[in-house]
Amino acid sequence: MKISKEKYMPWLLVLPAMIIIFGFTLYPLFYAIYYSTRNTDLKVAEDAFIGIDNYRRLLNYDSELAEAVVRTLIYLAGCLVIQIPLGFAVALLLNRDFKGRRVARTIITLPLAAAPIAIGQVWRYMYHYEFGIIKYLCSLIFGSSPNWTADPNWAMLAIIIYDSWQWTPFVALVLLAGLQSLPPEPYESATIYGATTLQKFRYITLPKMRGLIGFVALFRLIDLVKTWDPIMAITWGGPGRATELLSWYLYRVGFYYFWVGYASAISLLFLYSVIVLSTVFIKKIAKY
Amino acid sequence: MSEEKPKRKISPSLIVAVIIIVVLLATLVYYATLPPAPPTVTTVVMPTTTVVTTVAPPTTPPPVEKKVTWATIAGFYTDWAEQVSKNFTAKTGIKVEVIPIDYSVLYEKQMIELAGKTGAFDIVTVESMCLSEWAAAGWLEPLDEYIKRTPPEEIMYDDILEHFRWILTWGGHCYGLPYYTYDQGIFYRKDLFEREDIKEMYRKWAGHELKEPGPDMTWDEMVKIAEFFDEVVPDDIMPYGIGLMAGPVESNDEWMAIMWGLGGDHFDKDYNIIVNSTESVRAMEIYMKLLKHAPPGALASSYDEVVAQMQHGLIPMTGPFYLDQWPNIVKTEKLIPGAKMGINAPVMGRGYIGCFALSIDAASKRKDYAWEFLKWLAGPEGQYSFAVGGGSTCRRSVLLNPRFDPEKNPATYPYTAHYKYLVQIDDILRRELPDWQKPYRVFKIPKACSFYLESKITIGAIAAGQATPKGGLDHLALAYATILGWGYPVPSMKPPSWWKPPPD
Repeated sequence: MKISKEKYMPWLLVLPAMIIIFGFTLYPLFYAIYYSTRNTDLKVAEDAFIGIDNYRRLLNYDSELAEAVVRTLIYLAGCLVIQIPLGFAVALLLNRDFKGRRVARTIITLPLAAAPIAIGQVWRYMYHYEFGIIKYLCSLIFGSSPNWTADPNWAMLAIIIYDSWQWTPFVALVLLAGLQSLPPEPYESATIYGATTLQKFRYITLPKMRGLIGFVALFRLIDLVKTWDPIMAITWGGPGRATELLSWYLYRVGFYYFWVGYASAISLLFLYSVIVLSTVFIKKIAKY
Repeated sequence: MSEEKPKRKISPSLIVAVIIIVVLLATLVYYATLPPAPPTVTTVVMPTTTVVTTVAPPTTPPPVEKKVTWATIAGFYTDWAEQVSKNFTAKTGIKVEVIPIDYSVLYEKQMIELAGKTGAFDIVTVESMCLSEWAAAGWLEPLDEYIKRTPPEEIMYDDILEHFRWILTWGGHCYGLPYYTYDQGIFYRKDLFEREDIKEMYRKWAGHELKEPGPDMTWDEMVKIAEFFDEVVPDDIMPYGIGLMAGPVESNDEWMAIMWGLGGDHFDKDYNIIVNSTESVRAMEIYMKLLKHAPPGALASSYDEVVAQMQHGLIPMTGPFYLDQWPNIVKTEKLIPGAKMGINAPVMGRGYIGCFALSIDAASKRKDYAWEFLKWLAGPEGQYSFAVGGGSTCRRSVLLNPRFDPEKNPATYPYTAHYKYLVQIDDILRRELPDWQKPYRVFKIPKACSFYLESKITIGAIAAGQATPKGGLDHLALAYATILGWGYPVPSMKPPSWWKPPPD
């Protein structure tokens, strides 16, 4: 039987990509599923099948994990609440015609180019209670300053502020691209009908940008769930456990204790959570 | 006229696809056909401990290159490491590749290579708390045979401070030689403790004489002195009472020093978990009291920040503090006119006993070369040169060498004035600890490093007010039991019948 070129050619062309996807994405995923059913502990060479015990443990008995999930949700909410409106505001500002607009656009991209671990160390010293510039500025403006990284009530906010500083420009740039692609006609009509700037924003800009805002929020959400670098650089999960997010907890289980089995179960929970959150988001975005 | 047949063209994307497939397949075939590595380690898995028998391979092919790789700490130590490596290479012809790794990830990076038996590092840098874990897993080469076949004057094993020999021995075998210690003692502003007006102030306030901190002092007395400096001494002389590294990295070392001083421990003689005992809780309460008199950033402070606080005249004394920091802390004398630094063994004679040791990776293919370097660096000659460079050595003969005694050789004062206190700590521990605590049980259990990391987080959480001392330490005890796998889902504080204690 002769197989026509049209039949095998597409498969042949996608084969390299499939091999790469299988090797670097699906294989580790299946491997993680396999290990999540075992009590693998690299330190004592334990490795036995334990069924769903790891899942039972993480869902029923691991109070530290539950606390890390709650902290992660607070962190996600905090970052998104700051970054999306602020990013949108910056995008609106940069969309206006003013002198030095090009320079301003370039400057706001700088935080994106900084290596998180290196710049995180800088922020650690900026937050420092004895000689940090943030403490100095707070004292200058408000008369006193919180103990940013040493006070468990403020440490999470310190991380949120750092992340917002680094990633709000990304939100702003994406939304700026969206604003620049909006057609001018609706605005011209609105102007003829006497609409105010606020009305144009409320009834034209915002509805047209909703899809893109959702899209950028989804991107940030996926990225925020994985936050690890600033924790490593600024607080090490502390003080105490105040900034121990899910990713840091996973790192602790996997790379401090080397409980590979349990860490795999947590990472899968991590993956499922991101998939569920993303699906909900995508469905919402699809409406627009 | 007949129609000309179109010329057959080969698509460029097809060529690229074929090339990629061929390369991928060739790579797969190459790795699939590689012969398996000869087995060098036989591992017998037991419930919690792993008994390891090392079997020499039948024939070891001679290494191609006369070189060893050494994973060590980046930064403060790297320059020294590279210099001594050059000296060693000049002497022996064996090249040393120094692989500097940031201390914050040193443990994970080395462990991944050790667990994977890659042999990427011939020599690894082991923290005293992690040795049992790595030795029990069979990742480290026992050094007994190497020591036996080396002329005694080259290695002088008994010259190593005894408390490090306890820690670096597991199951009756030596697995590492120490080359750097950061045993804890205490630093204080001697000039302030000797000032007549301050002494008079203290006498009036406390009703007794102001003593300089040291092993004959109790922790209650330390709290009182910290309170005095913080609340009684005017701020222009001294704003705070004590410097503590209560951040997420070292707070547990400070708490452990107080706990051991009060007679507490992580495990008792029979390996029951007693990390939440009355003494431990009391140690934590004392730590919290001290924290009230520390600078406000203490909860985020590390050892380097405490050094900076001392250098800026913010604190009159440290808590339990790493004595290897003497060369940094003594700079206070230059930075603050009239300042004079004091050193002593830790309060109540107990501090964290810590060292970096050198061990040979069991998967190393150049063990003999590795031993040559290891014995030289940790041996009398290497340690002498280390001391000349201001390093904190672990050898008694070097620590007591008149050349490094500031009274006989004042030029060494900024580098080695802490040496005699390291010897004093060794003497105190040898004299005062019962045999079963030589070393403390926690160092022997092959999960010690996990306990250490867990205690770091818990002590930080208690210090930050996220848990009470009792509640937090009960949680820590449960975490220890969970790490040991003592019962599921509710862990037990007593060793279960199947659990075998580590070999003596």
